Amino acid sequence: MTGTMDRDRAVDLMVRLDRRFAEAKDDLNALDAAVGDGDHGTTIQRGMAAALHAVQAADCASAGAVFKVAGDGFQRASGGAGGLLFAQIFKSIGQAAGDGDVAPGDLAKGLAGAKAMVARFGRAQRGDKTMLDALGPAADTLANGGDLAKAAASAANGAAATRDMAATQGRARFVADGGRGHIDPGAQSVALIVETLAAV
Amino acid sequence: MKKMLNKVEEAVDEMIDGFVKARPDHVKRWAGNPRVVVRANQKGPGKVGLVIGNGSGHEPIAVGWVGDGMLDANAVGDIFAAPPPELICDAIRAADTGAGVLLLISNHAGDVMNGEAGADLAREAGIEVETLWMYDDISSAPRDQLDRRRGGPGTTFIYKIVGARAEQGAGLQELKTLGESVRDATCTLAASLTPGVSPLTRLPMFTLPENEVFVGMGVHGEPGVASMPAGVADDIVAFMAGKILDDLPFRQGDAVLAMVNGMGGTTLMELLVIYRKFAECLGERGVELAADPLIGTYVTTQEMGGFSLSLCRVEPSMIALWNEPQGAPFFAM
Repeated sequence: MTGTMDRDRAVDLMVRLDRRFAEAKDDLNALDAAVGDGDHGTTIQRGMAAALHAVQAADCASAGAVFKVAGDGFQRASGGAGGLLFAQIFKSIGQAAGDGDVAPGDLAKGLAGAKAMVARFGRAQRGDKTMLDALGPAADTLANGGDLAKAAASAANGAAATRDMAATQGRARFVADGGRGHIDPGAQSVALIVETLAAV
Repeated sequence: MKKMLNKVEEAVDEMIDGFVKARPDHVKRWAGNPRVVVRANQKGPGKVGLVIGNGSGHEPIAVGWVGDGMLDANAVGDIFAAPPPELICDAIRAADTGAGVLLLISNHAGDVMNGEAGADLAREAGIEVETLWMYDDISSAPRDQLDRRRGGPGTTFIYKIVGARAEQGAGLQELKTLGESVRDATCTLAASLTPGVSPLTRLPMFTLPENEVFVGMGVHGEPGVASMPAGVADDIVAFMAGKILDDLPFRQGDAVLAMVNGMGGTTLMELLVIYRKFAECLGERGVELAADPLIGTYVTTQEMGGFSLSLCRVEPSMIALWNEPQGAPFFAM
């Protein structure tokens, strides 16, 4: 995405995210099987499908409203830690945009807000092998004036870097050596979201 | 792998359908949300509500424990996923009679986040809510980091004892303090033999070597702290009992409640063989059972093969509460 995102593009983004996570579900489940209970892909896909359904049912007046409705729909449907944490990304962008279009500054503010919420709710820091290791770099890239393509690259690099990290939070901390050697599925999902945002 | 389910997305709702049809005198759906199960005869004003929200797939806990002397309401989440804050808030509303609600939270990341957020929503709606984090699994963190321990089958002692006291009309703060006392005197250690199969993916949730038993594995198959050769049950039970007894530590003359929990795929024959050795270890330490032990399948992960041992050191007042009658449909004492 370049420029400002209007209502129709926001809806299109939700359609694409729903499709992207339907495709990625099995791969994400496989990543999660190594460090958790193997259902992360299913959790996110269920949340995304519900987010899209809520958006299509709501007849939103603005892009900001699309994000808010998507976030609420995601949170209600997805459940678990992932449901609450990933919903913050949509809710936070929606909050930044208010009742208008989503400007680049809103995305930067939204991702920064989501980063803070995830750190607070998840009691996680960068380097703990969580979604924050992709969300943090993406948010920081936008905050420093980078565009979405750069943010997507930051998120992808951040996700890849979780392979060498040991988990201190969530179920992964109970896996041998904190799951070192495996990419964190939550970080991978963040990378997919930012990549899709950049492409819409 | 094979499961007796229809559409997996509808499995939780169909489970609740079956439950409320099977026990209409005990439980029903709350009118405000089909994922909230409440007692058929809800209590009048003055009774503090006892509530928990949890992912499905671990039955009979917790939906089967809604009933007199136990839970007032349960927020039934999706399979292995903590329910979202809105659903937990609805369960709190359902249980509130004006005297406040104690929300039990089993200490797992998703349950804590969604539970605390749900409690906040209920407070915003004007309901007095306290949360009680429950943890007992000694393999998940050392004793000096108690609140990093996971919630495990030993939390059963909290449901029963706090539930009985709530029934007698105790206030919210007293119940929370009582729950903390029970929690801080409870130790659990689990061992896994074979994985459960996730209804979502139809795949085994983890893999274990054929001839090994993993001690300290969590309810979601989080790998354990020690691997032991499978074969002689007594050796494994004695090892685990020693760890539990040394953790609190339990001392000669302590009065305890004991529990042997099967995780879904371990037979009553095995559980009784396990209990036989567990009782012997307790005897050697000189701790005394304050009541008959709980032995059965209470906290499960589908057809996972495995079991847990739990002990709770109890005061006389707790023993009396433990022995109070209760009427939850799937809590067999």
